[in-house]
Amino acid sequence: MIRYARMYLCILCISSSIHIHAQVLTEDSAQADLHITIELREIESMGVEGAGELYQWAGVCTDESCNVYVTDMIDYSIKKYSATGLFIKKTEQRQTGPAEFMSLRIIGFHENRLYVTDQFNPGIEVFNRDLAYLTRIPYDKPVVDLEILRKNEIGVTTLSTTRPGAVEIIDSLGQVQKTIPYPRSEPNPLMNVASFEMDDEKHLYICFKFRDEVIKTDFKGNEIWTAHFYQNQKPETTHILGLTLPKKPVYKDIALDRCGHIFILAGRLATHKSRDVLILNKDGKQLSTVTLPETSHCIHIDDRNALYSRGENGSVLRKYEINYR
Amino acid sequence: MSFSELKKRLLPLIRVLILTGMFFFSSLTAMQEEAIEKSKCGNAFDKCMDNEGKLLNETPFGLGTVYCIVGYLWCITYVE
Repeated sequence: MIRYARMYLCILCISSSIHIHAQVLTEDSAQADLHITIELREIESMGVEGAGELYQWAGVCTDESCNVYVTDMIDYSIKKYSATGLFIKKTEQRQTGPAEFMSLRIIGFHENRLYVTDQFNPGIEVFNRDLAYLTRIPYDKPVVDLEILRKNEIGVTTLSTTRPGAVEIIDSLGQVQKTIPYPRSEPNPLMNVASFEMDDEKHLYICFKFRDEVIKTDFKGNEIWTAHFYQNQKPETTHILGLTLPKKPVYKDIALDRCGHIFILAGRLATHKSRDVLILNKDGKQLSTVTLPETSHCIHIDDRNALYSRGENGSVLRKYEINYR
Repeated sequence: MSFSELKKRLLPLIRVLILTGMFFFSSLTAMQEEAIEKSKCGNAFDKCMDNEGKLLNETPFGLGTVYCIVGYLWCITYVE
């Protein structure tokens, strides 16, 4: 009997030590994952001079070959560069007719099509990859950010003064197919202005531009996690008549890399304003911060894991290789 | 109700609306002042204000107000 009891105790000790060892290993790897270092190495500068000179670019996107498409606010054009930064072509200046541009802003690419917003023209303009104008998707609200999931499924965040904050999925006719509400909406609609990204599992990563909140939700809008990286500080606002306006952005843009990390360009509360990029894992834990050499209003990461941001106050587009250590 | 009665009732309301609209517009120029000089924001205020900060839109509470707000948000995101 005593022998069996000793054997039982022995097995118990071994199994618990294996369990503890496994747990330590898991924690170690988790700790290691929480301390990655990321370095950026500049590999291209686009729009410096010549025919493809950028005057003041607004939005950037890339196709599957990593050709680069940029909207330029000053000459009302879309410019296309190769993956190595060579200028390829641009749209005609301030076209007339259905593709008349007043102020091109956000741009996205999906399956041979470019989707472009114009601040003063409601709707989304559609071009092919050769910059030929195709059509306009009607949509009445000002688009803040867009993400193309499929040809007939375009996710948009908007500035809506009448509805609670949400990501809307519209089809190619501009009809709202699905509304994914934010878990929490502020009464002031300007505080619900947000940039977002969607991963392959249709999880949404939303960073609010004017409040300290980053959230992950599923495709139904169910909250998975919420993170505040600046102690959930109150938004800095100014009052003009009856309007409460935000003064400076807390988060400017969000992007996902090919390893599943979340990159967030931080604004006024960062140590280096408009230069610090917070890097999170999919659980919302901050892994690292990388500082851009120059301030930017947005970031983009292409299919080969290169990061794009602003240079020379918008007259240059910088391309960086992301190195993980 | 006769037309003259209707006019009597509506005129004060119209006056209030015009005055409010003017006040609102002058406040919107402050929105641009809160933002940054135009050159730094590209054409964020093009359809909203001229180079001297005067409002270009003709009707109060119209689309121009929305353009101003959208321009303002774009501007502070671009520059700040």
